[in-house]
Amino acid sequence: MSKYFFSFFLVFFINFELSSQENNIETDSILLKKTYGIRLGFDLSKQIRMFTEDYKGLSLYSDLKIREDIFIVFEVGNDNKTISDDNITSKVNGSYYKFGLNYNFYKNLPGLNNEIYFGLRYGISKFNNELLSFKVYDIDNNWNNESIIVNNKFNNLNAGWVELILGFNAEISKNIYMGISLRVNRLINQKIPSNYTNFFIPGFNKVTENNNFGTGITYNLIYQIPILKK
Amino acid sequence: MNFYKVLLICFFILFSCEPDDICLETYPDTPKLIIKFFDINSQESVLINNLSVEDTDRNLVLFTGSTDSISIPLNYTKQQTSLNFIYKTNHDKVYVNYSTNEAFVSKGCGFRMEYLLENIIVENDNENWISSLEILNKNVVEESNHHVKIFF
Repeated sequence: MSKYFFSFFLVFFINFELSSQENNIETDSILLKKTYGIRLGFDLSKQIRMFTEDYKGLSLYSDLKIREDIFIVFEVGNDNKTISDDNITSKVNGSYYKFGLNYNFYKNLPGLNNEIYFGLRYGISKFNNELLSFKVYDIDNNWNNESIIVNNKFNNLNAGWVELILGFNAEISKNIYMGISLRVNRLINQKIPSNYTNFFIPGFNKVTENNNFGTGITYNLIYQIPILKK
Repeated sequence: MNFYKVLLICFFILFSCEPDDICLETYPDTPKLIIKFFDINSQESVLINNLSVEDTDRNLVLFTGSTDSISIPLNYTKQQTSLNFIYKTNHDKVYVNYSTNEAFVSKGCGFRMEYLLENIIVENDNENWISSLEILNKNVVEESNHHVKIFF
């Protein structure tokens, strides 16, 4: 539910931002320096989630500006998560790699380095999925719905997907950026354990039944290592 | 700019929609053992009157009355279910032995249990009303047909 409110709030915010750029920018006589460099960062939301979920993980971010508005991005991370459903308790752990591009379509005022961008990623994950326990699907509930503990391990699973991203980065201090990205993922392939399934794929997040879509949010803290100044 | 606004709205719509996994009752759940009654002389399916079936572990009456077949839930927390088949006033103790196997149904439903029957023992008390018992299908996986015949 909160996703709906968050989304609508952002739509109005962006509407306002984009329309404010319709003013003509006067050409300046002073040459402004634009920094190019490699940026490194991490997803702070993972660390925050450790307090509210049975979760451990780290997500690292890096990008390289290759054109004024285009960045090549590489992300890597790992997730270790325990998932408790109504009927099934399982544990997933694994790592993921994402590679792609960001296109910044926000026209900055001279000297500013904020971004509103669309991004594309290709992601892959290698992970293990362990079925810890389950309750039996028995409509008449004859046996008090006791949980049966099995601890079945399904190792060497993998998956691949593409992501469409909408992101915002703001330069909050010299060479330091903070940003949020919203992601829509589409699964391309996954290795499904036999007589079981994947509830969660590291990097892709929650997997739903009969549906190849997933979503994600990251909250990034990024530092730019300045290399080039033009 | 207009193009971006449209793209943005499409993105948010996609982002906000996440279906939930639900368990539809059309998905078959854990099957019960189905026993059909036969006449020992004619070898034909027959109606049995004054029958009562109890689960002795749970101290629960599963059925009372007349029928040609009954369905019995097998205990998936262990490998045996102890039953008491009462015909008129005659008690026959029956032990069903099996192994269990979980079968994944769906994300919403989880796992159901399936049973592989090992044997069924009718305790000899020198006045059994059950003449013989035959396992037709060891695999208790669904309920479309009876798994066991009881002749009396």
